[in-house]
Amino acid sequence: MGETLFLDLKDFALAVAAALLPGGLLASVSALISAGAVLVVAPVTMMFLTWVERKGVGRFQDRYGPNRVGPFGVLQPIADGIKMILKEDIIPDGSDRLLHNIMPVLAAAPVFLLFLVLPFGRGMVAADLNVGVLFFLCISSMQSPMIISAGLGARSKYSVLGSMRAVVQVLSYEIPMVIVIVAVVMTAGSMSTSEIVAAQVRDGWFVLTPWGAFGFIVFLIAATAEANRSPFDMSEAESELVAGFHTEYSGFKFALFQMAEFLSAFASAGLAATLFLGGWQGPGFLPSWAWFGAKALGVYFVLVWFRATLPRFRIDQLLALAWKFLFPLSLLVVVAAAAWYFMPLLPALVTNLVLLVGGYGLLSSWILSEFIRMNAPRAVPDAR
Amino acid sequence: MPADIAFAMLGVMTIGGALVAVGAGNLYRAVLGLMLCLVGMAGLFLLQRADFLAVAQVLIYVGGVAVLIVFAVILTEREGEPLAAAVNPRMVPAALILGAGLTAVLVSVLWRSTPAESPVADVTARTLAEALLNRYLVPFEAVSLLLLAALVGALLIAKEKES
Repeated sequence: MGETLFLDLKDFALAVAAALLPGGLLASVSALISAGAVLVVAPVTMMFLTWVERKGVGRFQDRYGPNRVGPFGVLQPIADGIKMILKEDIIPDGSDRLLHNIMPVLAAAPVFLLFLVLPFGRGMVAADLNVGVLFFLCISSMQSPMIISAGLGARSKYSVLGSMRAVVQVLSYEIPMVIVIVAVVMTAGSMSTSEIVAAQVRDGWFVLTPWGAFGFIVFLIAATAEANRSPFDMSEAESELVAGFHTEYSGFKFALFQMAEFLSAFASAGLAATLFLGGWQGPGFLPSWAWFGAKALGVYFVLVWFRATLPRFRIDQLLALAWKFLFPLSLLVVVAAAAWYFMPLLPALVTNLVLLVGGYGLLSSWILSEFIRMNAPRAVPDAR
Repeated sequence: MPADIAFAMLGVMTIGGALVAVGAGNLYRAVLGLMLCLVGMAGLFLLQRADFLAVAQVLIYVGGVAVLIVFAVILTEREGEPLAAAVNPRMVPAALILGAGLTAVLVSVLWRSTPAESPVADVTARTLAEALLNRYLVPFEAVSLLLLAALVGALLIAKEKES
């Protein structure tokens, strides 16, 4: 359980490569090793996540969850994978064959890029871009065209409705998420993920400040919505839309969409850990990468908890929550973060609490009254 | 060289995407071609070490503008009709004239410029921000005002048509 286990492995691989290859290619080989590690780790993580999810939801619902394949059902994901590959691949009549066939791949491929900018441990970031956080957002924004194309390619009503819902939701929740990230970037003074972790080594975890705590909550809600997860899984509300944009997909194509969904949820959990929970830092009895994994899995567990606990929103409630509650609250978080940065501790604390608690009170009472108004029986319009 | 291979691949991607965007018979395929072209351009920016520009390109054009175009396509589609793009019969002369003009501009730029002696420094978010918020503050704010005016104007026009 060495601190530098993975870095040592990479150095070893690089030393082997240096002995075999001309020197000019070494930089490319180093990049390939990092990228390859991400490509191997991500699907394995996804398989484990499906198990965590099913086991977790099972326990929440007073069931055992998968427990037949292997001890505690840990081999269930492998059995599922084999089942997915063996299933018949159905291409519906009248669908756009090209779109139908390439969209699962195009939806799953960008998700791997999300892991390139996450710092998995001290010095363990595959590509330390100076615009790391922005890169993450840019890649996750690439998913909405893929989802909508997948839905449109099937030429099925359920798919089209599901994909339109998904895109409206992703676009709406992206805004509070980006604004909250602005607060973090302002305080850390950099958009590089490793710099943000370094700033938290210096100043303490951002979640421990008042603005950071509110920002973390806003980020978590927005990330849940971005990943199309319950209680915001409007795009695949099975009671209304069968399975939303992937209704017409079967077999391994369906598995690819599932992989994209699980991995982007996990990547969001990792980003939440990096931005607010101090990334890989923690007491020295565990190596830094284990701390990162524990924090990311902890956040992911909260997402599973959401799924098991909360009933699904309706699409109008969902959009109202984004625009009338999270968006103003995220703006207050930015102002509070600026106050925290520039003021001495005591006035900063007072300003933060007044802004955030007061703002939260006002906004939550407004959104609740809006929800009640939305659910009120409507006057029947005149039939003219 | 890896950079040359990447440049060739991105070039093929950009030009191929642009050709599909202009020539596809299916409107939705044309939008996808446009997206491919935009992503390829972002890759070219990245190759020139303009990280911020590349990321902003994908974030705004692929994540924003392209999705908007997709919505426009879906909402204006007629039930049961295939998504047919309007193919302009005068495409070839238009392409020839535009291509000749663009070539003339590029050649004249190449003619006048001298190759840089030292490699250009990376265009980071920091240098961009410093340029935009110090030296070019007035034009920056003027552009944002213009965009705001366009937004309000578009809303106004849409609202008037509704009633």
